[in-house]
Amino acid sequence: MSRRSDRYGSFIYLFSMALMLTISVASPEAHALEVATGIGGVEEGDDRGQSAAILHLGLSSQWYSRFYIWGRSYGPVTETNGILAFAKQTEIFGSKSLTASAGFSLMANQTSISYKDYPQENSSFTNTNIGLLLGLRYNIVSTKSFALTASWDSHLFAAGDAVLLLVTGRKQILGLTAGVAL
Amino acid sequence: MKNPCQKLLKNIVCSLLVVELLATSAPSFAGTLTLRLGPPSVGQGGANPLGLPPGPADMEFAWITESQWETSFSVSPGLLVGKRHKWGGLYTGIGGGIIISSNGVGLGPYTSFGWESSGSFLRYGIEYKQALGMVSSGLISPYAVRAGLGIVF
Repeated sequence: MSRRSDRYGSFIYLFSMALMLTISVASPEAHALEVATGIGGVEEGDDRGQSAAILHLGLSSQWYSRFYIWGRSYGPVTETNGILAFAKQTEIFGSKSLTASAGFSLMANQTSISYKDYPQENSSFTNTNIGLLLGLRYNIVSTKSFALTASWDSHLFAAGDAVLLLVTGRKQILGLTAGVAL
Repeated sequence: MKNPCQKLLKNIVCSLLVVELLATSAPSFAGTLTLRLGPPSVGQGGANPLGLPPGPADMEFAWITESQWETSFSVSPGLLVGKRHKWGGLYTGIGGGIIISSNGVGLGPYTSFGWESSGSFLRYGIEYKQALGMVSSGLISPYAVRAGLGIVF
């Protein structure tokens, strides 16, 4: 298996799992499939932002899946991150445009180190984690077949045993997606 | 010299008048006063563990009215005012205020997600609160996971 396919294999697997999970909770009277894509800004605890791509799949008015991917390269190091989230949303404050979401997130982080002159020193390692999704979504524009949505999602992960002292890691993503109902 | 009985009667009447005025003009302060403990993440790469005993940065005081308006103060995320939407014990809060982080102080919105028990005198719960603030160097986004106890008044 090539290095590139190995690098993205875990993310493809996560996305496939998201699709299966989302389809499995679709009820007979579910709304049409909603597909949306967009961009987001990721903050990882240091008040700095990175850009991310977002793919949103919704099969009912309550259940949806989201996939975020972002990364960066600096020198010989390439870092790729992906989060697969599966959540339920509900309207709040009597507004049809404002919803709160809760669910769970699966995160995968892959770091590769490549030396052109010393290929024998190349290495790659992957870390995964499971956490909690808590977020808000606001439909800026919403018609029967089109929606423009802003979201403020946070994915909380337990920091090992230190979670007993309420220590968590967080990936915060401010997103803007545009989608259609199929 | 005044009659002691007249003096005593005058004191009693004055006391009753004061009590009557206080009782009719005092506003209702029904609500819950809550102290939550938990470490904030202030833009330095994540939160440190909760101090034992907890330090000032680990504390948050909140006043929640019966109509679910909440005013909270902590070193971080800051001084916040907002309203909660409840489903039984679960709630989501939205509001704004003065946001405080190690990278600056600014104004901005916050959201909170939590669970609170329904005691008539004591209520315990746990909450995740996040905020966004605009400062001269950009956007700050502190957050905290805190657990606490509230007294219902």
